[in-house]
Amino acid sequence: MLNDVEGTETEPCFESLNDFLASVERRAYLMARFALKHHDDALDVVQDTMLIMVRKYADKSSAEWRLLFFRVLQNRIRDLYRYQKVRRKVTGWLPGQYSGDSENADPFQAVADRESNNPLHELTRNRGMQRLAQAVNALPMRQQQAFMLRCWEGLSTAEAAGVMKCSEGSVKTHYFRALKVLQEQLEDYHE
Amino acid sequence: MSDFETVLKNKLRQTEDALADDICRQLRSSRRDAIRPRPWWQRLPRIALPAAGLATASLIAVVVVTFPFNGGDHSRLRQESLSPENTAFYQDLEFYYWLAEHEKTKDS
Repeated sequence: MLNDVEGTETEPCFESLNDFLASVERRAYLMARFALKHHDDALDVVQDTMLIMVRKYADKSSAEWRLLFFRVLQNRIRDLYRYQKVRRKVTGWLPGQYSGDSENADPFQAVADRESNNPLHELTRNRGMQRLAQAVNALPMRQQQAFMLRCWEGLSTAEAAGVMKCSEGSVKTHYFRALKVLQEQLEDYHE
Repeated sequence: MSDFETVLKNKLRQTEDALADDICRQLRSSRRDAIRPRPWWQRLPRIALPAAGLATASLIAVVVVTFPFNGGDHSRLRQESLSPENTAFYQDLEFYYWLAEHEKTKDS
């Protein structure tokens, strides 16, 4: 369905907003989970984004949905990230308070491997996933966003800049730095 | 796109398909909730409820100030008190007091 053309992908056609949301919901969840490091917050962000899409942008053409969806998603992630930061500063010293990092920090722990029944293969594969997740998790927020939008979602530099509300030069810088860090950390990563 | 980027992209795309069932269920349910048509009162803009409340309160305030609550008897008494006979009565009230006192002393 998707073809790579110089780092961007051709726009798939969706018959309805429901089909479109179904096609991006998992990716959106994982992106939010990487950024926020909290399962419930990630689900809330995805649900909010879906609601905003249905209420405000359902009448837009299906070609616009993808950019709008990821723009709304990244805005919601950024808002919640800032809120988490303030909340941690205010209530972080109290015992038993909210801490996104301590709870389910690795999004790939939620991934079920349905393909492999070989325990050794599964183990090495999960380790690879965990390493990838840790490396992506360790990236600064903006680098993480640039990496996910460019590499994972396949947006062009201009599109990613629109979603991240920054210049194309910034996107290129963030993406380059993210790739460099990931390459250093996952040098022997061939899985 | 370099080989490394392609490997990462493929790996990340694989994880989407292999996401745990309970999370997929929650995502599906969120999507259905978002898509489901909302009743009319939920489609009103957020400002509608406070605006309606403020308008109602203002209306009640205007009604109370303009038409103070008076029962039927009170308004009738008020009308009577404004009639010319009553005005004359109240003007001569002291005379009627004096007359009453005078008649009392006469009887005794």
